[in-house]
Amino acid sequence: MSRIIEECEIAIIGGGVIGLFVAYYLTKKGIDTVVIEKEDLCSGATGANDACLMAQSKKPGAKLDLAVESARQYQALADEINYDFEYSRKGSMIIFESEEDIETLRPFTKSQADAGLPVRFLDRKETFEIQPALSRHILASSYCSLDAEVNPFALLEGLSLAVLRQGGRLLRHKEVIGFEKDSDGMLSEIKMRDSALRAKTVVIAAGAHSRDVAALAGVDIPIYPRRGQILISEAISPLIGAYVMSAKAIASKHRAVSVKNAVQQQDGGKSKDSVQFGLGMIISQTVNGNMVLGVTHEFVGFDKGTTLKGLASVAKYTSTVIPALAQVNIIRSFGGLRPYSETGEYIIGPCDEVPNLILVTGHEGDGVAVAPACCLNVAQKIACGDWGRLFEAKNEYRSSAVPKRDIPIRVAD
Amino acid sequence: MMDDEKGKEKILICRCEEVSEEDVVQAIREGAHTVTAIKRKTRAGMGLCQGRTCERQIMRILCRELGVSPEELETGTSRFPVRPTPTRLIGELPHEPNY
Repeated sequence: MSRIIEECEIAIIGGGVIGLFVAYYLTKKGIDTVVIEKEDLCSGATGANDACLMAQSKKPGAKLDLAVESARQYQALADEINYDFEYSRKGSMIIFESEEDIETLRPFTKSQADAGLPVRFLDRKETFEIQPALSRHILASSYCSLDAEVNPFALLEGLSLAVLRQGGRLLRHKEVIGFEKDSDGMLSEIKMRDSALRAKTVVIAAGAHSRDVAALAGVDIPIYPRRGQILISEAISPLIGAYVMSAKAIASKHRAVSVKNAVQQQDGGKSKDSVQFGLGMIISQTVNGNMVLGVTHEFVGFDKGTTLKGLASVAKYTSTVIPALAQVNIIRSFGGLRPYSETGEYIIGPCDEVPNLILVTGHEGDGVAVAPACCLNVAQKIACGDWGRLFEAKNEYRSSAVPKRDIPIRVAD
Repeated sequence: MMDDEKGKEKILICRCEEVSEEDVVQAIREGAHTVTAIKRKTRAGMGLCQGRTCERQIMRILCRELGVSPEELETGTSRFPVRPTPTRLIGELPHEPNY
């Protein structure tokens, strides 16, 4: 039986990087905000990713703008919240392993540079100057000096302390199990197992679980959990001069995937594995010295475990790119579920069906990289109540623009 | 044991990441009430042995500080690999060649 324990202006469902940044900017404006998290903070995709802040992987347009603006905000944030979250700006490098890679990605690099990103094409010699550990089969690269890394656990610790200082509240280990609506169809109450919360506005920032939470409010959004498996090595002395992505992975990131087709191919078992493990590749190194090797892209429902085959594929590919990795000891592995948006766009904004429900999800692997700018924008819109154009960019990210689809929530078991 | 700046002796709990008992107690007092939460706050258990040495010590400190019994505590998450393993050996397992 539900019992009213609290009231607030804004309730945010999801204690990951998106939820906490929205809460941070709202409480900074003095708005009464509560974050509800079903586990502990940082237990979803925020706590299980490669920790890289990549602008170089984004297409020119709103996503790139958000990543660049976020990079600027991150540089000031540690002082602002008085917390060191190990921001380290090492730059990023996309490696080209074939002439085809160069052909495909060079116009992309140029379009980013034209949009103002500090990115440039490096020939073979320049590439090895920055990155001597790379395998000699690499032909060229593009390099972006803006890109950086953070420690997501420290980032969320710092943000949550700031939210509390600013008068916000954090409810941990509270799972939302339903909503009450009033006669106008607005959400009036959030139901949890042993309590309830009345909020004027509800924000869903539940990452890969956003579809399930939105369904409780009668709204369907095309968000699917996409798993990424990652290996962590022992701490070693600095091995890389910039974190490494592959051109193949970037090209595949920008190809929209139909979840239904991907799952069918996975299940069908023929062209399967390359689809199942997707094309992702990241090699980074934490401030502490641990190598971070990733990453698979799989649609396997809500299973966030690891598989030997997935981890072996990551180990093989990354040590082909940096041969010295073969000798480095792996100490840990994990899987994380990214909120994959089938339209390829983030899903941000109020719902037509339920006006006081706001969605901030679908960032897939971009969440940490775009959260500051994205969430500042969302907090400003919530504060002024006028959504108008969400971002000063060509793309519109409105949930109402998302067509309804007849696709099961669980795409595979 | 190791000496801190003031020359006072500190008891090391996590040897891999050099986390002291004092650090662990402080993390608990700041609200980290599980092995995992303490790990995220202090790095205890994030090193080469992945908590195989310090996890029991940390659970004992948790019991002492929170006044609970070990059965009431969750253990940390065990993950692949069981002991440090070179990337090369993992890459020799069956994998997807076109990945």
